[in-house]
Amino acid sequence: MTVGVTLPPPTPTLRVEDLNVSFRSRAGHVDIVRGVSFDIAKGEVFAIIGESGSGKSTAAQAIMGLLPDHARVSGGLLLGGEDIAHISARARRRLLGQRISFISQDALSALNPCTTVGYQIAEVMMVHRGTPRRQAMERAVELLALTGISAPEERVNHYPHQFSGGMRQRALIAMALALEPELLIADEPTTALDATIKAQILELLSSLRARFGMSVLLITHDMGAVARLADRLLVMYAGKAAEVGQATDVFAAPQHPYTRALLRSMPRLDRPGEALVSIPGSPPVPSNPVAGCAFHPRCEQMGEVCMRIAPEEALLRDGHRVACHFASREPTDA
Amino acid sequence: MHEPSGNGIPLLEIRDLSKTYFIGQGLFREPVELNAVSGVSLRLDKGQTLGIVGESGCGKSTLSRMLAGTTGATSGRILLEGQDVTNLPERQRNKALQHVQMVFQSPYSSLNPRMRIADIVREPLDVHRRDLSAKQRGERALEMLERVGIGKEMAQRMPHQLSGGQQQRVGIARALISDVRLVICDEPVSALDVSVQAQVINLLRELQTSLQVSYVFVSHDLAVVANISDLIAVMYLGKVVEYGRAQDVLQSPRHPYTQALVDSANVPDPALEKSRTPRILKGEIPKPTDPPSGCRFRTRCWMAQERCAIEQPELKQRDGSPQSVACHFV
Ligand SMILES: Nc1ncnc2c1ncn2[C@@H]1O[C@H](COP(=O)(O)OP(=O)(O)OP(=O)(O)O)[C@@H](O)[C@H]1O
Ligand SMILES: Nc1ncnc2c1ncn2[C@@H]1O[C@H](COP(=O)(O)OP(=O)(O)OP(=O)(O)O)[C@@H](O)[C@H]1O
Ligand SMILES: [Mg+2]
Ligand SMILES: [Mg+2]
Repeated sequence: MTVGVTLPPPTPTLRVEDLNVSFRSRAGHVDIVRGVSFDIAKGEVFAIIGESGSGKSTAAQAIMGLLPDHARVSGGLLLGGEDIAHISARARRRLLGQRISFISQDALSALNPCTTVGYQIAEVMMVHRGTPRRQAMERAVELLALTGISAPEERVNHYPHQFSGGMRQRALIAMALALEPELLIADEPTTALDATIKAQILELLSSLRARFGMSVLLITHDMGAVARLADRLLVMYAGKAAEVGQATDVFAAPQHPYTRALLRSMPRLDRPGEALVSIPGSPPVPSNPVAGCAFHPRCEQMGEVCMRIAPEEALLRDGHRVACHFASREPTDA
Repeated sequence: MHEPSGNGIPLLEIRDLSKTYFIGQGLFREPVELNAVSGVSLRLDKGQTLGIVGESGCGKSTLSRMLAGTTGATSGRILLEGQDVTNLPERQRNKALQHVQMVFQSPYSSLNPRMRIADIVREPLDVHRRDLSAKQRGERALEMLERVGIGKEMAQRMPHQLSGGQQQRVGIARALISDVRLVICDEPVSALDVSVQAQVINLLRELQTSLQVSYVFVSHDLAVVANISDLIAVMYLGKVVEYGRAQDVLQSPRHPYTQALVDSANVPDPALEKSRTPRILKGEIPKPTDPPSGCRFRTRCWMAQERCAIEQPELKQRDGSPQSVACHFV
C-alpha cells in the first residue's frame, strides 16, 4: 500500500518499554520480568499468554504499581503518551484509578467478605467520581445485569460468600467497568465462567472497545478467549517475550518453538480421550536461571548456540517479533 | 448405554439430592429460599470419571461439597459403596468419608503455607493410617510425590516456592495418598497453562488406571471434560438436564441448553473463531430464588411452548437417544 503523506503513528494507549522486575530474596535478587516491551493501541485487545510462573501477573502488577516493597521495577510506562513510571505513588494511584481498571487474577478473594457486592461496586463510583450513593447503587444493578447476573436488584444486596465462583468473577468485571476505563487490565477474567456466560462477557468487552475505544490487556491461559477477542498477543516464557504478533499470524504460523509446543498441548473437543501432549522437562525456576536461551533444555530444535547466547527479539514482518536463533527470518516489509 | 456396566453396587450413588440455602433479607423480612441443587440423581462406577458442566451458579460446587461431606444436604441420599453417608455426625463422617478426597481450583490456597511439601502430603496418613510408623508414613509421602513428578529435593520446599502446576500436583498427591476411592475435583486445572494442564490431566488418568479411583470432575472447559470423562452430567439451575456417555452428550447434545453450551465453546483458532457467531442465550435469566414453573430453561429456550411452563420434563432416555434428556421435545 502506498500513501502520499506518512502520518505520525497515533499515540498508543499504553506503552511498556523494557520492563524489568526483580524480587529481593535471601539469595539476592531474582529476575522475574526481563526486558518486556509492547504497545497497546486505542481500542485494541492485546493478550499475554504463556507458562505458569513466567511473570505475566507480575508485569501487570508492575504497570498498576501494585507490587510489594521488596520488588524492584525499572523501565518506561507511558499512558496515552504521559509518563506514569516516574511520578509519585499517590499521583499514580489516582491516575490509575481514574483511567485504568484492573481485574486481579485472585478474583475469588478480591472481594470484601463483610460488605454487600452491590455496595462494593457502587463505592468505586462514589470514591472516584463522587457519584451520589443512590445513583451509584442503581448503576451497580445495571452493571451486574450487563455481566449476565440474574435478579441483579436482589443480588446487589448479597454478600460475596452467597455468590458462586463465576458470579464473584463477574462482580469484579462489573466493578472494573464501573469507571468506563480507557484501559482494562484483566488477569484471567474468565477462568470461572462457563462457555455461554463467557461468550456473553467476551461480547460485552468487544462491544465496549468498538463503541468507546476501550483498550484491553488480557492475561489468560484460555486460548479460546484469545482466539475470539485478541488482536495481537505476546507469548511469555521465563520472564521474556518469546514471540509477539497478530493473533491470527501467531496461531496460524507460530515461529517460536515454545509457542508451537504450547499450542500443541491444547485439548480438543473433537478428539476426546486422546492422551495430551505436554512440553517435556520442567519449567525454569527464576532463582536458578538457565544460561543462553531459557527454553533450550526443553526445545526440540535446540542448537549449540542456544546454550550460550540468549536470542534477541528479531522482527519478521507485520510487527511479528520472535526471540529464537532459528526463527525463519524474512525481510521486513518497508 | 450410559447406565454403569457393572451390575454390582456402584461406587457412588446420588438419589434425589437437594440443597436449599436460606438467604436473609434484613432484620424484619423472612429469609428467602434458594434451591442450589434440586433433585439430582446420578451414579458412578469404580474407576470411572463423571464430568459435571453447566452454567455458572447452577450448583456444581454445592453438589461437590455435599459429596465431600463439607456441606450438608437438605434432602436426598448419598450412597458410597452402598453405605448411606448423607449428613452423618462429624465423627462418623470422618470415618465414612476417609476414602473421599477433594482437589480444588486454587492449589495455593488449599495448601497450608507454613508446612513443607512432604509434610502436607503425609498429613492424611497421619490422620488415617496410625498403624504405620512415622518413618513409613514419611517414605510413602516421598513415593507419592515421586509419582506425581516431584523429586526429593523439592519435597522440602514451602508451597510458595513452587509454580502453580507443581502446587496442583502436590494437591493431587495429597488427595491420592491414603487409600482413596473417590476424588472430587472442582475446576482443578482452570488456573494452569495448557501445557501444565495437559501434564496434570495425563497424571490424573494414569493414576486412575493404576489405582482404580473414580473422579467427579467439575470444569468449564468442555475440551478438558471431554478428554477425561466417561460420563457427563449437564446442569442448569440446580437440575441435571442431560446425562450420558461423554461422547454422546458432547458430540450430539440433545437438550437445547447443552446445544447452546457446546455451540458457545470458543475454537482456539482466531481465523475461525472471529468469523463465527456463537448462539448467545437470550431471554430472561431466571432467579434461583424463584425458578420458572415447568422446565427451568424455558425462559431462554428457542423451542419453548405452552407445555413447558406447565409440565416439568423428566430426565429420561427419549426417542432413541442413548443419553437421558430432560426436554419434552427431544
Ligand atoms: N511477591 C513475590 N515475591 C517473590 N516472588 C514472587 C512474588 N510474586 C510472584 N513471585 C514469583 O514470580 C514468578 C512469576 O509469578 P507470576 O505470578 O507473575 O506468574 P504468572 O505468569 O502470572 O503465572 P500464572 O499463569 O500461574 O498466573 C513466580 O516464580 C513466582 O513464584
Ligand atoms: N453459602 C451460600 N449461601 C447462600 N447461597 C449460596 C451459598 N453458596 C452458593 N450459593 C448459591 O447457590 C447457587 C449455586 O452455587 P454454586 O457455587 O454451587 O454454583 P457453581 O455451579 O459452582 O457455579 P460456578 O460455576 O460459578 O462456580 C448460586 O445461586 C449461589 O449464589
Ligand atoms: Mg498470573
Ligand atoms: Mg463453583
